[in-house]
Amino acid sequence: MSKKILVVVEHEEGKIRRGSLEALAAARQLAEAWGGQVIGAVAADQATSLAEEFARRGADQVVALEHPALARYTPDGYRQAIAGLIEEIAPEWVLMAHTYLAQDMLPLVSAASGAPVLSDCVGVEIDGERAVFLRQPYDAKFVARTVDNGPAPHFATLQSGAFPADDLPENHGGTVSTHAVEIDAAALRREVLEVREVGDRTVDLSASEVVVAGGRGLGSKEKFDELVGSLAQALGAAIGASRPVVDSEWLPHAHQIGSSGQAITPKLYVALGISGAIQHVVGIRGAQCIVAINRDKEAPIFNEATYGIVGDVAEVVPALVAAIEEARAQ
Amino acid sequence: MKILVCIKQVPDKDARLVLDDAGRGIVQADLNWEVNESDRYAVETGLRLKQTLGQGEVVVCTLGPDRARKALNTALAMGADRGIHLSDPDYRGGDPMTVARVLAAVARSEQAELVLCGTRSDDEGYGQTPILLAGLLDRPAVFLTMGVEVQDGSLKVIRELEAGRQEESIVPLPAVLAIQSGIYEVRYTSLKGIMAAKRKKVTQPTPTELGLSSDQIGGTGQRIEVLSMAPPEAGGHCEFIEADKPDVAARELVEKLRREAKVI
Amino acid sequence: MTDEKHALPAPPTEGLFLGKIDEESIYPFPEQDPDEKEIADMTVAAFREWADDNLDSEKIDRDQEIPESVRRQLGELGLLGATVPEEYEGAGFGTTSYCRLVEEMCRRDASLSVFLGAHLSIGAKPLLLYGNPEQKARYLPGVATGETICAFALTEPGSGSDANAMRTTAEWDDAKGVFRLNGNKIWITNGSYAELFSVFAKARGARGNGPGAFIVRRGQKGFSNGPSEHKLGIRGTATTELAFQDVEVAPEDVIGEIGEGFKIALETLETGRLSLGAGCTGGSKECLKMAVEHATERTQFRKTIISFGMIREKLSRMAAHTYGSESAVYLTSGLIDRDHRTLPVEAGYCKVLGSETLWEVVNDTVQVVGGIGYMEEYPYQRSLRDARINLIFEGTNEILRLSGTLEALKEPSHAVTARLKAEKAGLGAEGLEQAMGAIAGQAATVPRWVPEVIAVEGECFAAAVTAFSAKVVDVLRRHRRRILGQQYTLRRLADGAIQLYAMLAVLSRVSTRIAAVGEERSAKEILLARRFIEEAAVRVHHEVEAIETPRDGFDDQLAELLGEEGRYPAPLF
Repeated sequence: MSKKILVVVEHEEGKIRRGSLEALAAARQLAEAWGGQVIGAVAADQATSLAEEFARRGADQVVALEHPALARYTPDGYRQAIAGLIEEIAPEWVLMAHTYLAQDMLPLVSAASGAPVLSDCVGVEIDGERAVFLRQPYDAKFVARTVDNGPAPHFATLQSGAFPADDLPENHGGTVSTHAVEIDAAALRREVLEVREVGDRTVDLSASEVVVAGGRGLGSKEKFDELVGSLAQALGAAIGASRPVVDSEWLPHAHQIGSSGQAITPKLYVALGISGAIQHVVGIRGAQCIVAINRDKEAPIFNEATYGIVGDVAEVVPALVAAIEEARAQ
Repeated sequence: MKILVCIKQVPDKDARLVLDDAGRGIVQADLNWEVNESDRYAVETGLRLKQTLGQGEVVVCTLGPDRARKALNTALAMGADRGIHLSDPDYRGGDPMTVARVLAAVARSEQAELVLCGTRSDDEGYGQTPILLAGLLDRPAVFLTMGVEVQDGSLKVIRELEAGRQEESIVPLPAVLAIQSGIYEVRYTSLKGIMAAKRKKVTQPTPTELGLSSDQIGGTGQRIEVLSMAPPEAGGHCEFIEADKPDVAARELVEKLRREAKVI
Repeated sequence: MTDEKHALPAPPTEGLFLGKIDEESIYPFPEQDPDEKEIADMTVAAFREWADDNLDSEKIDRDQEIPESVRRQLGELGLLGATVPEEYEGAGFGTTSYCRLVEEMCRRDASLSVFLGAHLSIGAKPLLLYGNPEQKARYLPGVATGETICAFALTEPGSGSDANAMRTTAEWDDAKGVFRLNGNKIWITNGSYAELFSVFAKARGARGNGPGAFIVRRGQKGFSNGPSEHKLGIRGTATTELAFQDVEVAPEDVIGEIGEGFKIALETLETGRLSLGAGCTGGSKECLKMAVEHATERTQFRKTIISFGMIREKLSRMAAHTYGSESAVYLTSGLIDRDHRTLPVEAGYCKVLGSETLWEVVNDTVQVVGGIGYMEEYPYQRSLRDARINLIFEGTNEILRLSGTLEALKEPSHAVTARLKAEKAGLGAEGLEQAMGAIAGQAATVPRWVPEVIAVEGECFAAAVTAFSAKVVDVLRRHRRRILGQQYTLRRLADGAIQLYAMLAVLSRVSTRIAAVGEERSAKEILLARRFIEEAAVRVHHEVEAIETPRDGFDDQLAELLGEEGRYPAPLF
């Protein structure tokens, strides 16, 4: 029997989230190695058109799980819909992007069958009949080759950017079926009152061509303003920050880059005194060119950077501002 | 309200971690340990809820060897009322699922109305134990809790979403919440609190006392296996600009950004 | 009390002077009781966390003030009651725990640790040592919470190292039934905001004559303090003059007995000193960290400067000396806690060693970082300025060398006297041998617990002890009581003894560690110990060999000349 790889699709405002396409890319890798089949699952009140799109992008079969209660995400609604499907199709693997939604919901599903989730994976190796997923424990100081030795279904979530979706087909021609799922409305225990924006959205880093950001490593709010501010001005750049900076209230949340802030895609991104925690890095992977300046040459940010300078930001930035002005004068 | 807070002891952030001989874990000897960051916020949340309600008990629980007692003591020094140290060797090893099973058994035996956890441990970082736990207990849960209030026997919870958004919802009790770092300012432990912690009760229930059989927990019950662990392959493609003086380095960088990368 | 003292082993420096290493009493290296250790660990961690978020040392230095909010928060954290007994709302810290707290505090901010030290190590110490139950119950709970900040008032314009020259008086007023304090005190740390002052004054009148210790509260009539002095370093501390004009002190506020004043002051300072050594160890560690950080980042000639020999030598020396000073401090504190005793000579030596190590370390740090070490916007210059006071206050290093060494010479001088008597009595060689009993002649042996891997260092140490103690016998035979006036020799003996004591502490510590966790896991400590002992042994031999060389005479003559001429005495051409 061919192995089934189930991808649970996440969508927002009628669009498939990029992470779900990356999960699809990972699923294709497994399916191709095993001669298996990729099955997508889209839960919504109206899921068919999203399911069709997912089928075009590479799923062999997509199940539109429809119910009025699925109009918006609730963990119990998704859990019921997906658990039912898993029971029906008995997949070998269940994959999702490692998003807040997946973390909020997928372990509820896996716990029912006594399975943990191989979470936040950055790669996969096929070892005969089993998949070995690569994780980054200890804040990405190590890479761990990890397996789930229990019976199927197995569960994994995939780190943003780890499985590029660039090579997915445009017209795969997978099939779509629509299931009217049964949802026990009484079991929807979380009653969502509202989803709201925090702070102002006037700072739209995603539209900026150049972004300069700083980390807690700059020492103080004054230093941050001085160093990040002067370089941003010289480059005509928008200002961003890592989470610790925002937590310390040096800048409003609107400037935060990373998993709990904005994901940016500028031509140039400059990281000053940012160590490069994974929660930050996932927000900058779309940048065309990354410059990192940090005193710690082991800082993980350098793994992401195009160019790096190891040194004291307080010394390098004034020199950089001068060099930019010099170049402009020429 | 009885609140159970689950915490984990992890190596401190600046620790220099070394792979063990088997290459499947880290050398634990000579490390400094601390309470996992988001777990501290969970303790703080528990203490504030009790304070606001004006009644209740905050029981703090950890799974780990003898050294983990210090993590409990830190939470007790912050103000938690009582500790549970899951120190039996049979608990050890394991994966998020086996840990969740043990914690679920504790939550049941304690009849805790609210279970608080951090979101993700800074060591293995599976980030799922609280939600697995909720699944096992068949209770509602919220991951990445950024705010919580008790309202008419339910919880009003704010959940962090991506891209700077938040979801506000009502969740009935009993429930499980995974608390996000930064929800509140965590109190400092005072010397008075530290001294008082020494006199607080800490129990060490065995698996049998919690009604757990050894094949469900610890190394015997685990499904996840780490085959090997290694440092990440050295750097990507970063080109380091190595000049002695900042102004030379700066000029070289600007030149490269203009000519090579063509981004300015 | 006397009986207890008899049961105690001799203080560890005594054996060094006698050429006999008391290897049992200092091995294993005293470890903290696990419960106490955990409390200390958590306290240090709590302070560190608080400091990370709340402490701006640059601002404290610039504003020349520890803000009230910082002082209040330290009180809320309970740190200001660390050594106050639990029955008086404090934490009842032992010596090691308190040293660890001061070390961490000094590492972060020297002003802060001096503020704490003035409050607890000396300000409240007379009450802790000699206060009666009523006084303790009345004052200590406030001391513990930090509501009652304390200060220690001994120094006067004409009375520094020479406490006997004190001129503040406490005249008994029989009609009112109070002592009237009159006089001035200077350089009193916490003088601007302390609530409780331990004031030393000479009592006169019907209630007795002689030095006494008096409690004066802020707000008492006739008490006032001057403005905060502008200082080279530890600028955050409030150092002021105090004036007493007919300040009335009730007999209930006399600490101990009239006549005991100097004893109380001395004991306070003796026990307070050790934590100063610990603070200096913390300062050294912080400097070393800054220096290494710079040396691994800074590139010159396409290499990080840590690859250059002259930088390596400095960093290695800084680390090894810090290790030596740290070992001496915690051996001393551990013995004090373990044996419930005081070790004034060793505590004084630790203060000297700690402060001079820090001074060298901070000097090397400034050198390693180069020009930026001299710039105001970098922290190095502050470390340099803050470090300097440690060689001066709470007993100058000169006084401590002198007093400690004279104290340590007591036992050997008894033995030498006995020997000289025996010689006079014309006893034969055997009799002489017996009279010498206690003292030297034969080589000191390597402590039995020194493991093979550091046997060479053990030999080094034993040889240094042998050479040192032989010299002790030699000078005592020749000078006998006149040794009291031989400051050139006493200084050299003091420096030899300080190095030997640190070597002993290092040997005990590293041997204990090897025995506990094996050689492999002790590799770092073994390296530090080797580096330390190798150099310390050379220093001991150097001091021993330089005793009574012609240089002493040159120094005498030159100093005379300078005193007469009042300036540099040689014309260039």
